Amino acid sequence: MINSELNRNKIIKAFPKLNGDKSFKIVDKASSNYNCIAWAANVTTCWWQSLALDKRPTFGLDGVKYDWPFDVEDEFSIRVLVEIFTHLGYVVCEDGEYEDGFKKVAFYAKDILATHAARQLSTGKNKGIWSSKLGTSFLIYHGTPYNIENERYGNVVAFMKKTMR
Amino acid sequence: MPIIIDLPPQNIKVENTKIEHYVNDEQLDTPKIDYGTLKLDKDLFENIYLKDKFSSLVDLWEQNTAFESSISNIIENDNFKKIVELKNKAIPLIIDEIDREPSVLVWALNIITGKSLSSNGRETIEEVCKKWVRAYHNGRIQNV
Repeated sequence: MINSELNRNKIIKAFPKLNGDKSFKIVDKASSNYNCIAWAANVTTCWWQSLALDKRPTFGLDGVKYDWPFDVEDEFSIRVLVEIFTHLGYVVCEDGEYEDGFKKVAFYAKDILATHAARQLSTGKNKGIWSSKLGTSFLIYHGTPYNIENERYGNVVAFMKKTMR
Repeated sequence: MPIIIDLPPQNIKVENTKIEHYVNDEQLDTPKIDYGTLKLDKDLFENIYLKDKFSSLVDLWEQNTAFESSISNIIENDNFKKIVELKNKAIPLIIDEIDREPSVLVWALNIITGKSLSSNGRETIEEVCKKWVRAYHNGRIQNV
């Protein structure tokens, strides 16, 4: 069972702010087919991370294809993430509050490096809560983007939104 | 009446007694050194040490990279590099580990052998781990 106490406790140990988050749930198994950035962009067939232009996409490791889209710079920074999501139709916004008719993403950074991206769910019974693919590990739901801030991911530093109309 | 006193006799030389016990080789009970056994014990000790070291490296690597968003950071982690540095000695240990629990540890096999068992990156980690385990047990790892 994916959402077992054992798995939940492993995640809570790494992300203590999830303790007590009523929306926290493990919703899909661990996978290396995609990562958080790809998930935020609604992609589950590719791992998105900074790569040299001449190495896009890369297939060198088993069970993963990795890429860095739209010919953006080989840099894992918030600036480049904003550029990628701008290509996808997103615009920078103030916060992660749910807005009907929009989907939102949140970007995390520690020091000057981007570390993670989360996506707000915008349809169905879970709309308004957030989802994160945790590296090669599980896909989870969490109540707010701030609940997965930790030592490794650092803090939420930017939000973007895209109209669904 | 004369008194008789029992004195020790004079001019008697007391010699040391030397006891010698002769045994032939068949009767010897000292353990013989079996160099074959010694080598086996040394190998066993090295294997235990290697397994222990490998297990610690995997634990530390997982703790440090389990939620990492960058593949580069996962495979450039110091503990992962030390696993790769074990080269061929790490292969059976990695096979056991991914057989027990499929994971991206399989990437260490890609790096050690310079080979990949999937060509399009679409297979899941579970699928490629099974492929590696089968290939190893079929004796094909050196030829993949």
